[in-house]
Amino acid sequence: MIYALYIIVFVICVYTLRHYCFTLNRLFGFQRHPYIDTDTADWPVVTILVAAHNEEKVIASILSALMKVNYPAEKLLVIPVNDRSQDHTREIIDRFVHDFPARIRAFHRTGGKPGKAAALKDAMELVDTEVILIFDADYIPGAGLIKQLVAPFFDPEVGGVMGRVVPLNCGTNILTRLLDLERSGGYQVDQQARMNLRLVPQHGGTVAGVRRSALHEIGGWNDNTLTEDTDLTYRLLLHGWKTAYQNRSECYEEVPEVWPVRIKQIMRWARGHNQALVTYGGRLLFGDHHATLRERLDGALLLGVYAMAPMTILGWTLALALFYKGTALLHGLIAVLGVTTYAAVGNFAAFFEIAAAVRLDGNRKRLAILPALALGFVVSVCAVSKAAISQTYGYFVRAEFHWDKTERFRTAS
Amino acid sequence: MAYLFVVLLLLLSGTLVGLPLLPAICELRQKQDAEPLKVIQQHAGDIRYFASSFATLIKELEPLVNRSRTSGDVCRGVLPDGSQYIIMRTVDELPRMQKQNDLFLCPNVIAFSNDVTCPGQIKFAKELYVHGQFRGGDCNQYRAVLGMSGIRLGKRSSVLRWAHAAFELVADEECQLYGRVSAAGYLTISQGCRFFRLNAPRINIGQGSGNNPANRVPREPGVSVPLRRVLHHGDVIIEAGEVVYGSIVARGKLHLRSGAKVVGSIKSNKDLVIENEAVVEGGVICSERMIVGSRCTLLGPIIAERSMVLYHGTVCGDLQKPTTVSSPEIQVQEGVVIFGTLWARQSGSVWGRA
Repeated sequence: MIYALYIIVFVICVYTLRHYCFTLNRLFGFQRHPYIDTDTADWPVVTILVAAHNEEKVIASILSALMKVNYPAEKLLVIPVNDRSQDHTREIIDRFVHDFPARIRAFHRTGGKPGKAAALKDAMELVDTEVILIFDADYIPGAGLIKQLVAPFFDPEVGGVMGRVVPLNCGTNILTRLLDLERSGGYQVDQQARMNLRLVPQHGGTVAGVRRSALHEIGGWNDNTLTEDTDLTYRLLLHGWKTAYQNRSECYEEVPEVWPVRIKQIMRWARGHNQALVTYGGRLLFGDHHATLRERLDGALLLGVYAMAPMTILGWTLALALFYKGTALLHGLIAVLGVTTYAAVGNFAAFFEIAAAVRLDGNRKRLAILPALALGFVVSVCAVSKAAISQTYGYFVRAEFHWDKTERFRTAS
Repeated sequence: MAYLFVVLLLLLSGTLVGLPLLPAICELRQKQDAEPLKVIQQHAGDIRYFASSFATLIKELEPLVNRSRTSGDVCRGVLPDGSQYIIMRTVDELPRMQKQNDLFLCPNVIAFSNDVTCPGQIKFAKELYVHGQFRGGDCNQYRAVLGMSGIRLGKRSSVLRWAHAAFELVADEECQLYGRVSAAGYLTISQGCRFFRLNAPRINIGQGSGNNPANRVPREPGVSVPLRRVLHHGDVIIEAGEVVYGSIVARGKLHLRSGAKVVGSIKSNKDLVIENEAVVEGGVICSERMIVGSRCTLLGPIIAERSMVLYHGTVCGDLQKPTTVSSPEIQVQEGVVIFGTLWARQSGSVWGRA
């Protein structure tokens, strides 16, 4: 039992160190934005897929925004992928197709497997361009975003591209404010540091792009996964394609405004991530493929992020059990020093990362909310652990594939 | 008594836990910093953003500019941003200027309603607008210049924020172009100039490069992207005269020998050397340092993450399909022609052929 606890402590320390490395890199290291200056080019023809399932509240906003982007109109085709919607999404899309017949082509899906990946897979029959961009329906792209997301594809090593997600409704309540801080840390520091250090920036499946030939090479969209973005990241990596992260290619999104929706969302992410961990973890670390050593290590750590929550709970349980059993974990001064050091430095790592991100964004007063992140942490640990347990149980009883769509809060325009 | 201690302990613990949350509670209630991050960065994307904004401002003064051109009147006033402006036809009407660090300081926004040749050693502390052709004297310092025809900057002049010419912009020797410099026609920068961000349909490096025949090598007919991509884990050398159809990715160094041709894009994760007269029809990407020899033709975007050197006779992009050349540090020799954007994030410089 004690060795299991040592292993858990070691893994937690590795993640702590990782947080510090990323934050210090963002604050003091060489920053890579290689493609962001590409403002003039012979821009390729691009298809934009907008995944939409019951999106009547938001679909009009994104289609309107896409009609105003700064990209040659004759080189841009928007395909709203209406996946079995039962609200007025279809009518809204058809109205846009009527208004912009040469620029929007509708794809109405009435049956088939549920899930975004399955819908995108079916929509590929309409796509004949090399560069494909993907947006969820609640996103609002700015005018310059499309060129910024297309620019990395001039690099023949890039198979996927990912932009930065910025919450639009961040001021609504405590949850949206905490999610705003989390997103800040996740993109401004975590993703950009991975880009800087040539590690594994993660494809997020929205505000993102993929090269069609790369997608074809890795076998297309995987509709058996809950997180097609994580799945795509790892399959691209194993086949020698890079995912480029563009920190300055920002796009507004809507974050959940109520806890049950947030919990559902993070549970889906956790299940999908754990699924990818089981599918690709071993192959990534020990397989014969194109990833470099640092990509293998970082990729494995990235795959394990959602496994950390149940592991932390297990660690707490083991520590308590050993304490009451009377087992001495460490001796005397070493124990005191170890616990004190971790309490002072280790627990601070994630907060440090988010604080650095907020500073890099040029914000200040929202840093006051930082201690409240403990609340978000507790909810996440419980939700992610519950997801891991139900997933393990589902594996044994062969539970059916289930997709939870994230609820929208915006009022239809 | 024991109960009292328990209650006190609980109160103390509660206070210690709650104290750090006080600022959070205040911020959540007051929402002093609850706006979404501003992500619409038009000024960062469009090189002509500031020039266009200033042109809009000046457009409101158009009747006064026309009056000054026809009658020679000098008009004075205040712009919406509070800056004082003077509209005049000739430089003789410039107000008396005080000398400051070897330069005569002109503190107003100046609008010339006609062609003008300006004396040297003037510091234009505010924007300068020229309705006609502008020829600046040597050692002038401009905050920003908008020329509705051509602009010629005299030797050792500097532009601090931006300059835009509706036709041609020429920077004579040793100019310092700190901000954004663009032209709707041609842009020529001479030996010894330093630059950051340039954009024009055609950028001539060195005054003689206007005769450089661009587009010497036509694009390969009948080839359409995507071509096959080959990934190499070590260094790669493309031999002299060899023609490669498809894109090349090298995890090590990449070397194109003289006259080699790639119908596709190339990428090196280390240094990239392209020898004389090589041709690349797609993007040229390098994670470290890039050296491009003489008389090369590179048609796609050219990006080096550390530094880049371009030798004379090299042509980047073409008139129909302009491109971007970007790197933190760029050294470019006279005789290079770039169609589109030349962007050095930290420093760009031009050196001569001698």
